[in-house]
Amino acid sequence: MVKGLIGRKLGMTRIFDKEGYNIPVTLLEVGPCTVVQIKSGDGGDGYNSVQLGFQPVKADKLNKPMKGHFRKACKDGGFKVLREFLMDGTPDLEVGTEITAEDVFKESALVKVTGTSSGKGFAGAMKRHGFHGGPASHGAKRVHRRPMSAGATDAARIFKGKKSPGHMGNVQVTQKSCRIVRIKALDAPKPVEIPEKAAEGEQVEKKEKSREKGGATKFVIALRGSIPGKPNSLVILENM
Amino acid sequence: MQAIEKFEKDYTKKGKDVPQFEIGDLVKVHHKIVEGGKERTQVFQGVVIARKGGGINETFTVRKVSFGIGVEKVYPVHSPRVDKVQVVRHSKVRRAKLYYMRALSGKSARLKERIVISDKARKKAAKK
Repeated sequence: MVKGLIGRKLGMTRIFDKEGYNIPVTLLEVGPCTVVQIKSGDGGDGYNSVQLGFQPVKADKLNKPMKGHFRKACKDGGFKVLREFLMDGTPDLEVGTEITAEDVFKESALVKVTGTSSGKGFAGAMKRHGFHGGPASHGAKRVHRRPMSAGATDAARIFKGKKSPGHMGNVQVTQKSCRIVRIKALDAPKPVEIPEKAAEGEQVEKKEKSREKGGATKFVIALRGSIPGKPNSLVILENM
Repeated sequence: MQAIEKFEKDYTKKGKDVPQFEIGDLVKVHHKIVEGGKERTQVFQGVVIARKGGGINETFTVRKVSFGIGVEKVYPVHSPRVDKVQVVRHSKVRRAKLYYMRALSGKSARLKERIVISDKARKKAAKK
């Protein structure tokens, strides 16, 4: 099985456990993800991995090359997000398989979360690097939050990597050892009623399929504590 | 947002378990506390001066004057540690937040009682 899945951050809330302790949790919508492509070491790709698709899109949103890429995985349409997950051995999956959060993750397990941190814009040295700033008083004049000295004078230049103000946030961040508190299935979509006057055989077939599929594929995962990034941002969850 | 609210529903109190009270009510809050490995119930009596937040984050503030010193406690409505909230009496208040009570003491800190007759009692009286 794959090590991880693609998801979306929903936001934060709290839960009370049986003893009444308050647990802060971050909610993520994880999966379902569809296997779009399989790469195997002996298949000429040089390495073993599985490409997963998340958030389906309709065919008219895709260009021809992308449609071709998705043809094997789904009849029409494709996915907004594609990510590759490395595998230890030759992937034992088939293109087009739908993987849900329940298949991959377990409650109370530890996971690795990769997301994009919130952008902070052009930040000063105190916020960006945790500098202490200048004194608040004792004659300090307009030097309360400055980075101060930039280095020795005999070098006559600033050394590379000097910590100074600049753009902060909006970078990929990985947080390890996040505890899964709960995996909850979102309400399954209501089975579609088949009208008695079904005209064409093809349509009926489609609807029957969707009724069969009634089971929940969307899961919400609650992680203990906070994770970087804003609500709605993309995250990748991996088992540790 | 909807998904978060749906998730919270599993952890909020439902129906009869949700404490029923209004702003300005004199209430007895039964708070379960663990002390020396044993669980006991502590009762805190005071006036509800505020109710804040929504969903599982909802809290209420109870104020009382203890030995001349104002004491306020903030309880989460949906915490399982808050066992029950008993209403001792209702008060006539015009605000949703009674923070002005903090500046008052003695005679001026009184609230006028509001007598509430339940529908049941009213029907009973009408029959007589």
